[in-house]
Amino acid sequence: MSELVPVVGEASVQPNVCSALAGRYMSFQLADEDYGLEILKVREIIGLLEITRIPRAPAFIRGVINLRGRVIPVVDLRVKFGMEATAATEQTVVIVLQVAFAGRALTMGVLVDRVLEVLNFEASAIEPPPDLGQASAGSDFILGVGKTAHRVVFLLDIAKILSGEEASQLAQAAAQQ
Amino acid sequence: MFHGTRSKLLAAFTLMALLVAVVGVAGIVGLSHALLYAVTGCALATAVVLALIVSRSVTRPIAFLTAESRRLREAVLAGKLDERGDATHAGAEFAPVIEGLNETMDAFAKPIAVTAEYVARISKGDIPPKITDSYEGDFNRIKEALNRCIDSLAGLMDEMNRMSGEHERGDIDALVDLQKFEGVYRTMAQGVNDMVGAHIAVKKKAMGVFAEFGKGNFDATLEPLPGKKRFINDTIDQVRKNLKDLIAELNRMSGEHDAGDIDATIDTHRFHGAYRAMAEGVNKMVGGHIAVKKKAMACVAEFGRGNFKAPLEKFPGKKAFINETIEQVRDSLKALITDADGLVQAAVSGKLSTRADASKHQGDFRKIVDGVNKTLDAVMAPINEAAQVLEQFSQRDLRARVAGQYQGDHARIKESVNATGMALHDALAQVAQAVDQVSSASTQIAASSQAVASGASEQAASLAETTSSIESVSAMTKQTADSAQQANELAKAARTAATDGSSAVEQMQGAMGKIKASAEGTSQIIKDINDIAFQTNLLALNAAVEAARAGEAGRGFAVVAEEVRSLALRAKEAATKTEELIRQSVKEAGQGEVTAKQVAGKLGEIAGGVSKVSDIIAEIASGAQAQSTGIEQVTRAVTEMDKVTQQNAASAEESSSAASELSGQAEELASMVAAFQLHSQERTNPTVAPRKAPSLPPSTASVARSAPVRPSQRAGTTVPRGVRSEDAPAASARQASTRMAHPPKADDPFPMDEAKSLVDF
Repeated sequence: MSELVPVVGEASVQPNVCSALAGRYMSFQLADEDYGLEILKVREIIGLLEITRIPRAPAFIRGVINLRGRVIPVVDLRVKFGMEATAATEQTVVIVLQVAFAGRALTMGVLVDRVLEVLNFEASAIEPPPDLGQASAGSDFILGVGKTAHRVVFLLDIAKILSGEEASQLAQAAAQQ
Repeated sequence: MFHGTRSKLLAAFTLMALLVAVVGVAGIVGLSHALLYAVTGCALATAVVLALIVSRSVTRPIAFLTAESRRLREAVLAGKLDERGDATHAGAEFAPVIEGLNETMDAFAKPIAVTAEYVARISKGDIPPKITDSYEGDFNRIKEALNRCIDSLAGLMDEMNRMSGEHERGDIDALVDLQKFEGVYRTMAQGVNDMVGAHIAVKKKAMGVFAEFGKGNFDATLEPLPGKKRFINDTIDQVRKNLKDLIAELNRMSGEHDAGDIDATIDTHRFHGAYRAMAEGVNKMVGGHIAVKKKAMACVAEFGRGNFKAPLEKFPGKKAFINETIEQVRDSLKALITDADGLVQAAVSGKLSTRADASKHQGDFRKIVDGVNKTLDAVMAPINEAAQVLEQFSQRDLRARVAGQYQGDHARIKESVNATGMALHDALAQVAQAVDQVSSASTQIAASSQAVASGASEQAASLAETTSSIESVSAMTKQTADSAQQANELAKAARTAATDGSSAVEQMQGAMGKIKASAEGTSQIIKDINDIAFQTNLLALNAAVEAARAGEAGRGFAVVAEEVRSLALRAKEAATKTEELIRQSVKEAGQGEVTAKQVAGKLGEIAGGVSKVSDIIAEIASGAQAQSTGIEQVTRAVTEMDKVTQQNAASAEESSSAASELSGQAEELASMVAAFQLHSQERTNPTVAPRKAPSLPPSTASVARSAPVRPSQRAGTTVPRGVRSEDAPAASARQASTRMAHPPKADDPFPMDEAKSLVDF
C-alpha cells in the first residue's frame, strides 16, 4: 500500500513525454520483470481460465478464452517478447485489454505471470525508454520506464506490441472462434 | 624065540631032556611015589605036549613043503616059469628047501627067459646085444648059440649097413662081403648084391639119359623098363617134356623181350614143381633185371629232374656195375653242381676271385665249368676296375675314372662309377662352399644363443622376485580375508542396530506424517484463503480498473477498491503469515520428517551400507579367495615360466654348444673336404669361423632360485600383467626381456593401486 503512492521522485529528461505518461498503470510481471499497462486500456483481470488453443495459429497467440460468452484471443506476452513460454501457475492471470488497432476496437487478453497492483506513476517517476540504438527499432512499444521504490516497471503500449498483421491475425483468430 | 624048527626041536628036546632029567632026578632022589608019579605024569604030559608041538612043528612045514613042491611042479609043467615057492610058511629049517627049489627054478628059468627074450627080439628084428652073462655047461651052449645067431644077424646087418652106407657115400660098387656069411645068409647077401646091382644098372641108364639131357640133348631115350620100373621111363619122358616145354617158353619169352615187350613172362601154370619154380625163377630173374633197370632208370630220371640225392639200392654182385655207373654219373654231376654252388657261394659271400677247378671235371662238364669261370672273369673285370676306382675314391682321390673298354651291360658300371666320381667331385666342391656359410651361420647362432641364455637368466631372476612378491601378497590376502571376516561380524552387528533404529525412526516418521498431514490440511485451508485473497485482489483490481474507467465518479469506488485490496492484502498477508507459520511448522515437520527420513534413510543407508559392506566383505572374502586362487595360479604360472625359463636357458646353452659344435663340425668338414683330391680348379678356402666357446651366463637354473639381480622393478612390471591370464608367462617373459634394456623407475615392490589390484583380482 505504500507503493500506491510511489515515493520516488527524480528529474526526468523529457517531462513532456513523461508527464503524458503519468497516470495509473496496472503492473504485472513477466519472468520477474515488471511491466505496466495503462489502466484505461484494461477492462478486467481474470484468473486463468481454460485457454483453447487455435490450430495453426502463430506462436504468440496462446489461444482463445470464453469470457461470459465472448471469445477473446489471448496473447502470450512472453512469446511475443521472445521469452520462452511457460506453463501456467496459479498466479497466472489474463489481463483483458481493449485496444484500438487501425481504428477498430480489439478486445484481447494477455497472459501474464503475475498481476501486481495498480501503480500510480508521477511524471517524475517515469523515465523515457532506454536508447538501444538500432535495436530500439522494435522496442517502441515501451512507453517508458517507471520506477518504484524497489523496482523498475516497463510501461508498455499495447497498441504497439502487436503489428498490424498480427492484429489482423488476432482478429481473425477471434473471429474464427 | 622059538621060530626056527630047529630051535623048536632043540628046545623041545632040551625040555624033554630036562623032563627026563627031572624024572630021573626025582627017581634018584627018591621022591615019593606020588610025587614021582606026578612028576612023571607032568613030565609025560609035558613030553607029550612037547612031542605034539614038535611033531607039529615038524610035520607042518613038511606038508607045506610038499604042497609047495607039488604046486611048483605043476606050474612048471604048465609053463608058468615064474612061479616060485613061498618060503615063508616053511619054517626056518625047511625054507631053504623052498628056496632051493626056487633057485633051481631060477637057474632054469632065467636062461630060458633070456633065451626066449632074445629069440623074441630077434624074431622082431631087434638084434639084442650079445649075451654077456656067464653061464655054465648047457646054458653056456645056449648062450653061445644065441650069440652066434646074433653075430650072424648083426653081421649081415652090418654088412648091409656098410654097403648101404657106402652106396650113400657114393661108392655104388660096394657089395656085401659074401664070405662072411654062410648058408641062407650068404644067399641073402648075394641076393642083395644082385638086386642092388640091377637097380644101379637101371639108374645108370636113366642117368645116362639125364646126362644127355644135361648136355642139351633131349632126344636121348631110355629102353623101356619092365614092370614097375616103367615109371622111370615115364619120369624121363615127363622130364624131357617139361624141359622141352620150358625151353620153348624161354625162347618165346626171350624172343618177345628182344622185340621189346619186356613184360613178357613164362606162363608158369604150364609147369609144376621145380619147373614151375624154374619158370617163376626165370620170370623173377628177368623181372629182377628189369626191376634193376627200372630202378636205375628211375634214379637217372631223378637226376634228370635235378635230384642227385635219389638213392639207388646197391645191387649185388656183378650188377654192382650199374651202381658204379650211376654213381659215376651222380658224382660227376654233383661235382659239377658242387663247383657251381661253390662258385655261387663264393660270389655271394664276396670272394669274386674264386674260380672252379675245371680239371676236376671231364668232357662237357669241364666245358661248363670253364665257361662259368670265363663268365665270372668277364663280369669281374669291369667290377674289379670299378672297385679299384672306388678304392681311389675312398682314398679321397676323386680324379680317378674307369678307363677300360667294356661292352654292353659291363659298360654300365663303368659309366655309373665315372658319373659317381664326377658327381662326388662337384658335390664336394659345393660342400666346401657350403661349409663356409655354415661356419658363419654357426657363429651367429652361438652369439644369439648367448643372448638368449643371458636373457633367460635375467628372466629367471625376475621370476624369483615375482615369486617372493606373490608370497607376500598371498600373506596379505590371508590377512585381508581375516579382516574381512571380522568386518563382516561388525557389519552384522551394525545392521542389527540400524534395523532397530530404522524401526524407531519409522515410528517417528509416523508421528511426523500425522503432523504433516494435519499441517497440510491446514495448509490447504490457507491455500483456499489465499485463493480468496487472490480473487479478492483481482476483484479489487478490477474494481480499480472500473473506478479508473469511471473517472471522477469512480474515485470513491476506487477508494473502496483500494480498501478491499488492502483487506485482501491483509488477508493475504495473514494467510501468508499463517501459511508461513504452517509452512514453517510443516517445514519443520517436514524437516523433522525429512530428518526422520534422513535418519531412516541413513539408518537404511547404514543397514544398506552394512549390507553392502557385508556384500563387499563377502566380495572381499571371495575376492581374497579369488586372490588366493589367482596367486596360486600366478605362482603356478610363475613356476611354469620358471620352468620355461630354465628350459630356455638350457636350450640356449644347448643351442650355444650345438652352435659351437656346428662350428667345429664345419671346421672338420672343411678339413675333410680339403682331404679330397680334386681336379685343380678355383676353390675358395673355406673360411671357418674360429671356434669360440660362447660365454654363457652363469647357470641360469641356479640363479632363478637364489637372490636375483635387479629384482624389484622386474617383479613390479611383470606381476600385474602376469596374473591376468594363464599364458601371461610367455607374454611377461617377452616383456621382461624387452624391459631388460629399460628398467622402470618405480622403487616399491608393488607400484600399483591396491584397489586396482583388488579389482583386477
